Amino acid sequence: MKYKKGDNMNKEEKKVDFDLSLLTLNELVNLYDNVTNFLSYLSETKIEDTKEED
Amino acid sequence: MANFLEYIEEDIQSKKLLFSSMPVKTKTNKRKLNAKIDEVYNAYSEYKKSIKKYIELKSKSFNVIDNRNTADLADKISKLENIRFILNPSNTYFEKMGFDTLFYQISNSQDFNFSSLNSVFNEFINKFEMVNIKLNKSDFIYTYYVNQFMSSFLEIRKSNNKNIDQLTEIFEKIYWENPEIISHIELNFRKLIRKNEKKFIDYINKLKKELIEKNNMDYKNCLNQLSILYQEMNTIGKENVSDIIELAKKGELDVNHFFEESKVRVSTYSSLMLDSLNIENEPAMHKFYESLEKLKNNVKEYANYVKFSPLINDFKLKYLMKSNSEINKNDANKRLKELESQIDKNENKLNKLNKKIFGTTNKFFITKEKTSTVDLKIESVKQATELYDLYQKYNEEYFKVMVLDVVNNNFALKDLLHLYYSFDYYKKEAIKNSYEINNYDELIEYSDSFDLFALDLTNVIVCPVNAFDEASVAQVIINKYRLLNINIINEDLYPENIDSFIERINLILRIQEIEKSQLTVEKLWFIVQVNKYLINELENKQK
Repeated sequence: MKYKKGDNMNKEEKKVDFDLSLLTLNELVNLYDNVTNFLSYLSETKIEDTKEED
Repeated sequence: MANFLEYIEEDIQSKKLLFSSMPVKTKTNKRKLNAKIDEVYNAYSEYKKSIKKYIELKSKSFNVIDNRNTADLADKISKLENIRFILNPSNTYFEKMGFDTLFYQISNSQDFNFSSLNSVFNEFINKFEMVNIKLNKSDFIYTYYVNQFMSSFLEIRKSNNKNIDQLTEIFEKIYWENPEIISHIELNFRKLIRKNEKKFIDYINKLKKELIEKNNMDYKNCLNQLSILYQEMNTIGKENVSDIIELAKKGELDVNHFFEESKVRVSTYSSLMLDSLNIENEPAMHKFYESLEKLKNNVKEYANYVKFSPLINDFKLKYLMKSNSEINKNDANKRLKELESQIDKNENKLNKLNKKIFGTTNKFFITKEKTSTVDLKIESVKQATELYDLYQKYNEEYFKVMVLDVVNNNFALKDLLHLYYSFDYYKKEAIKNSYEINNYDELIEYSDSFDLFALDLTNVIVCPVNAFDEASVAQVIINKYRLLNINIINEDLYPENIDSFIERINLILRIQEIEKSQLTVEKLWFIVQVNKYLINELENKQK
């Protein structure tokens, strides 16, 4: 694969800092809400097993 | 580098996109989708756990520990209030022994069940035992029926039998023959109290002496000390940041109104200032907050006067109107004596009748006299009922004498509060007459809140009862605080607006309290949010 200009920067951009102390109080609340809502979404999205054959 | 929130927002979008594009036609498709969801769910559950742990710790770190200790102070106040109650120069042994409270309960027996009524009888007997008087069935001979019931009552009491079924049966049997049995038991107790008056007076006098010597204080000293302690309690008990946090957690105040950009906050500040102040001007703002704090206390006191104005007006009408105030105190005393001797006379008459009844019923053979015994019983009940009316008149006169003893042109609101506090029976009667009260519990609520108000020695509004009307007291408050640059208008003190006016003052005082503490509005908002999460989680678990 040929080197493309900017590849390193993209990788750097995709890194995540999980340090919660960097977030403001408002952001922490948003984060908790997003995660909680997404967990509810996941529960609702799951499809129950049926007897349907392949 | 993205922070955690940015990553989550982006990740959630991409995951949602992924799930929506996954095929779900076949069972295998669905299994694959579910497996992927489970994988993501587990990862996010872990995220949630860590975030929750972090925000809980952070929220706790903002909490302000309440270091106040009001228990000792409350204890001191309670001890002094007991001394105040006994040393109160305005009432007699009758009220200090609590007989008036018990009689009020008996005279409202329709609001009690049978078991509670028995407790009242029991309490009467206990009070006699306090002064070494052991009552027996021969003391309860007001009527034949009173004797019948109280004999059984005393027997059951002596045997310490908690089962009152047998007594209920006896009561019901008597009740159908004499529905006024409870009133007649009341009269029997009244007569016994009058007969043993000296013993009760001596008991209270001894108690007074002991209290004075032990505490080295008289009534006046007691009031002075209480006044200092109440002021101290007001200062210590003043709403602080910990209280605000608790109120916010309970949802009793809206933290969103505390933020600087809140329209409610901005409009509340401007609505309470006559001339707008520069928030940066600390001395001016300090004075503003101080005035608001005082105004809040005055408005709360005023709100109590508004609450009890029907009672105040009822008193004015009964005892302070010109025609009534001309009633001579000596005349009232004379009438009281007359009623007393009339009661004695009638009770002697009833006593003679009872002797005949008890004489005939004790005979082994009842032949001819059987009919006349029935007639005698009917006559005795009739006489007892007449006596009940006489006692009612006596009670009215008794309070009138007490009132005439203290009223004059300068009789002030605080004197009125003290008078009703000193005479529980008449206070409750007045409350019942002045308000639409639906049940006994509601009456007790009014009565207790009245006592709390009457006992508060930090009340400052001075006004003769004769001159009392809500509007003029309101005007005094308005005039005073407008001079201090507080924008308060008549409508603010309309009874229906007082609570919301106090809430407006509270909003500003609470913001100031937060600003001078280590807490911030944002931190308070965060504490509330985290608390909501905890409650939600608890509720979900319970489901």
